[in-house]
Amino acid sequence: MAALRRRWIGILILVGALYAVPVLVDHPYTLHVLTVALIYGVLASSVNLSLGYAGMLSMGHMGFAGIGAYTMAILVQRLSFPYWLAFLSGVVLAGLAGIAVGVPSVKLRRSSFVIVTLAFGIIMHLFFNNLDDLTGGAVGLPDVPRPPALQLGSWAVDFTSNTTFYFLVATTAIVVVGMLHLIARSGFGHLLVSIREDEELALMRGVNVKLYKVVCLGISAGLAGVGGMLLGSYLRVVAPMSFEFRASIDVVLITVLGGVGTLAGPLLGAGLFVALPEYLRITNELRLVIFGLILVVLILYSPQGLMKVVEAAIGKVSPGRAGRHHNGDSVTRVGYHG
Amino acid sequence: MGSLIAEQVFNGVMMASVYALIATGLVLIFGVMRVFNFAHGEFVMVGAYVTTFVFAATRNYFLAILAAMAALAVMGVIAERAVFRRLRSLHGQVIAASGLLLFFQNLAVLLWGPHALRTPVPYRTMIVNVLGFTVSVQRLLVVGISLVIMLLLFLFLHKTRLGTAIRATAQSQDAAYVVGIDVDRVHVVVFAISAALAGLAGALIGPLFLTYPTMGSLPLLKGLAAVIVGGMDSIVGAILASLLIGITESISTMFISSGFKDAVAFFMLVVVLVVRPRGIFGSAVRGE
Repeated sequence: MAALRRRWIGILILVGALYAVPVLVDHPYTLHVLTVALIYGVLASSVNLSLGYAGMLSMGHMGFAGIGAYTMAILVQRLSFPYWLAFLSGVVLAGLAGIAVGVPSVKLRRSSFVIVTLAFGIIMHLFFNNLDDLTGGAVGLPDVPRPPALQLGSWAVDFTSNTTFYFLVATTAIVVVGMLHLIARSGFGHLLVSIREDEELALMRGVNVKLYKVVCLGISAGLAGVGGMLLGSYLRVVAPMSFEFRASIDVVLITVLGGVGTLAGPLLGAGLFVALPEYLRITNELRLVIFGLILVVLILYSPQGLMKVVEAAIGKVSPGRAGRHHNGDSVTRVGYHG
Repeated sequence: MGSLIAEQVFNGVMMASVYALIATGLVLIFGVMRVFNFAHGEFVMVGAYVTTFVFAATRNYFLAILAAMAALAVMGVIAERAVFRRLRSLHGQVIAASGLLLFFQNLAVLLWGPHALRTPVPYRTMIVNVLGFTVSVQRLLVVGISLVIMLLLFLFLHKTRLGTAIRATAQSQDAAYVVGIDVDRVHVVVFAISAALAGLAGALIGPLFLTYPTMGSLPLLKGLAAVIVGGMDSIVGAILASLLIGITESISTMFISSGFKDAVAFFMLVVVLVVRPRGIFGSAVRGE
């Protein structure tokens, strides 16, 4: 019980810190870095759902993110949809794209699934880049709106300021991680893990493996859409560059860096991936050279990611946490053997 | 119209030779080691850079090609020893290879700059007349050299002890151990050959197009498409699929905007996987 309470206190402190940053640090650059990191955290969390819980490695997740972002931008700009209705449509369409990709591909061998999602991501990028009339071609769609002001009685929250938009992004990240937590603890989540661990066994026990995998990919793609729309709204532009094949690799990398199948891992990974190089003042290329190497070393020596390293460190400090792996909810955090 | 089609078909065959070199390398390591090398495109890129530099120093294109193949064989051995032999799971391999991809692509930018380099091989501008239409000697060289190397590879795999050992290991690793094949050595050799083929692909396309850090990405993806369409474990299948993809792609530019040309291979890939998951020429699925 003490361990559990300590865990909740830890989560509360983290959430509090997330919200306190703009109040404590009046520094636009820090805010920018954190906003981008949290958006990538959302994108990585969506990868985490399909990869970490159901064992489906998608190399085309930015394709889903792009579908969400372009849907939202086009609906708002061309058809004058209200922002949040367009946002919701973006989530739904990205989710449907996930289902459409999932239906024919989840029954394939794992290697083929990787390739199909990769091909999907590349095809989507080619569409974004070449359907000039619809997507604005290589330039993309400029002047993507921020969400409208939120009216709470006489108090209005206006998202055009980067500070308030940060709160929106932070809240979304917390909600997404909370959602993943609930999914992981639910019967659905346990079935996903059982599929990841042994698909044959799950099939024999009568689990509708295909259905669960498709639904999982659909939710994951919808979440990627959320990430894509936040990115578009924040940068005020939706352009094909954001949804490249290598961006899809980046989000997988972030997930693995932080820890596949752990809740906080993707946020940790995104923080390191986005923030560290900004502050070390190294070029983007050198950053990717270093992260590429780190990834290889990590996969060789600690395939469960940095979260595992952090947990082990915390476990050494406070014995209460080390025992957690043996209690009830350990099923969602058992080692990832992909 | 007729000569235009013939020209596109020849272009298709030329690109297909490059895809086939890449696809064959991928099939070899996938067949023998069940390893999926996503960083293979970066091998192509490094091969092109080696060619560019050796050609600049010696003015001898054929020497540059050999240097690229040799350098890549060494790189392949290092990659196998340091990374891939330790990774058994598919996801581990894919992720490690993605790490290598980021590493090599960005290292190339740091070392040699983001701009494209020219390799002024004289064969690019040398024109000959073949069967009534004109082609550059460089394009003929791409097809010719690929053909010769593929034949040599076929002879090696079928007529030598080591080649037979490789085929045996591809059929069953356990059985290979039982009959006393040095499986470890087979793995190293296969990786070296595969990387050398990628180096050759780079050496051939570098002078035709340009040499730049991300030049390996698209050819790799086309090669991967050919591997899947061809059935994962068959070299002949991969070669036929390369031809199918190369020619279809090339002819498609007559009908659709060239921006979508690259989508052709991936549409074919998705259609084939959905309709016939084992690939057009694939045998029954063996494990993961």
